[in-house]
Amino acid sequence: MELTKQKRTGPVIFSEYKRGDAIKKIITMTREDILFELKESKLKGRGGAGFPTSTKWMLTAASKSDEKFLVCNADEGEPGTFKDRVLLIEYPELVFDGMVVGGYTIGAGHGILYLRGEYEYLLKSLQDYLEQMRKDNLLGKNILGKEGFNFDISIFLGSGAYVCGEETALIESLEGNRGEPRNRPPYPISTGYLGKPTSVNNVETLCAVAHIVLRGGEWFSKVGTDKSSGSKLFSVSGDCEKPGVYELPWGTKVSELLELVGAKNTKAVQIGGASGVCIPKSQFTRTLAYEDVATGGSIMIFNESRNMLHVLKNFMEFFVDESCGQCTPCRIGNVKLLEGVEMIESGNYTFAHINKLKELGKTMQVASKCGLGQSSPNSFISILENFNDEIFNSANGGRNGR
Amino acid sequence: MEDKMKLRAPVSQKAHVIPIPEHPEYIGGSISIQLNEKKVTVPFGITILETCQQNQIHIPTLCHHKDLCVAGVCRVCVVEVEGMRTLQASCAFPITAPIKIKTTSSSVRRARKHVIDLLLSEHCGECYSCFRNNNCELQSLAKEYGIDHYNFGHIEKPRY
Repeated sequence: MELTKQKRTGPVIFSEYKRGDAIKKIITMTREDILFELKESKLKGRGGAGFPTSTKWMLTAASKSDEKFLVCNADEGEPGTFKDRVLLIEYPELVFDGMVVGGYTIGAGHGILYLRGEYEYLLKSLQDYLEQMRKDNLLGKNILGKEGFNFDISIFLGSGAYVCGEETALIESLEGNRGEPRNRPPYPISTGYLGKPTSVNNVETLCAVAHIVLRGGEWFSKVGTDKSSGSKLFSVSGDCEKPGVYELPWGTKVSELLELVGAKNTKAVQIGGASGVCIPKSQFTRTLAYEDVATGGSIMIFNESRNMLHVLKNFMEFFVDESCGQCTPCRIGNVKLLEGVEMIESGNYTFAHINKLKELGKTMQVASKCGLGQSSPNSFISILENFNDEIFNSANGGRNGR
Repeated sequence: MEDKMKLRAPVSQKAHVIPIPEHPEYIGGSISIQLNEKKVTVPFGITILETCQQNQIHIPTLCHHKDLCVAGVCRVCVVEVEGMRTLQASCAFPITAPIKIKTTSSSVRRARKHVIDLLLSEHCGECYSCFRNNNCELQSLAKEYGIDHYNFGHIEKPRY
């Protein structure tokens, strides 16, 4: 497949960067310096959960082991997300330099890129790129002549399950087992891949790290808001004129983003993919930030012609399919939520039962084993609450529950 | 531990055993935790479930059995650990830090009730015609949590 590249501009990740710059910089720094810069930058994980990267790396660096691993999570399975693909095609230098920086910081000797199975067509170009890096001594033994700095990267092709984007399920999958989340604690920072300390980071986080070590944490923290520093890549899709990947600082209002992408007659915006929340027109003044609407980067725009009940049904069918089937709340709960949506569709429901399902959704958010079950009721609860009028009054010809 | 690794259960459910120190009275061998208003000292690495059993606090379990892997999947044994957003499965949570545990808060009881509801909704058959009537863990658990009807429907035929 032909890989097309496009010139992009943005405040942080899409700004100027030359291959190997970050690696040249870090061989003059100590681990503590890098961790300090990261702490200063207040960088949070870009996969969606928003765990501070400096804390994760500090804990991984502090755990004692003869071998450590750095895993780059490029298994973007969230519906409506495609930012990692853009980064891997157009900015592989940022991803791999970020991995080398991470490996140096936590003391890992081996990095693994967990590439989504559907991105197999990227594999060859990425491997050629790694080969080129090895030739230039940016990878391998004694990188850039620094004694004892050994780091190599291999690529693992994922097997196509949504749940493998969850970090412990990803590690299970890497070990060659069925992709199922593990019990936590112990966390991967102490017991991860092959029982060794492992840090799992999103592609975009590592890209941001490469820029942070080059220009300092203070520069990074000036972009964005106080609590969520830096910028974010948004994968915008749906009913708009210019879908694509946009880099915007945190704290951007939803309405500003809609204006930028040329969305008209917008009824609803699903923020954070299928596991995110859906907000109606009245809430478009909310800001995209960890303190208000946190997101892993997916923005789906729906205009007036869309039926929100169909949207919800689509999401719930997705979760019923993708649940790994271990824990009770996720395995059976998602089926019950889907049944509830089908009941509304046929008009054969009672409000008492729908309220019971909302309560069940809240239980699933706290009682499930992993992030899939904890976030799957988000869209159910938010769509039923925010589009109450449409779903219960007009969609079924005014049948207001029986 | 080696034997547990070789079991044929899914590997995600293999036990993450933290060795319990031989002499818990030594420095670093035990931890003080708060268990429902009560302060107790437990050996490092013991699970919440075992602690509760030793302290006469009843926690319902279904998927947990001492001869099986630590699965932590039925979620009936969830408890609230202060500072954590989600409820934790007590059978799979080794205590390695001084934590505060609540075993009977309202969210815990609601979650357990929902889990039993969901299990019953996929449970084929009626109790009155069942061989195990009045000698059934699930039935007594439903009684304990006041579930007297099927909240989320009931299946007529076995699915498998």
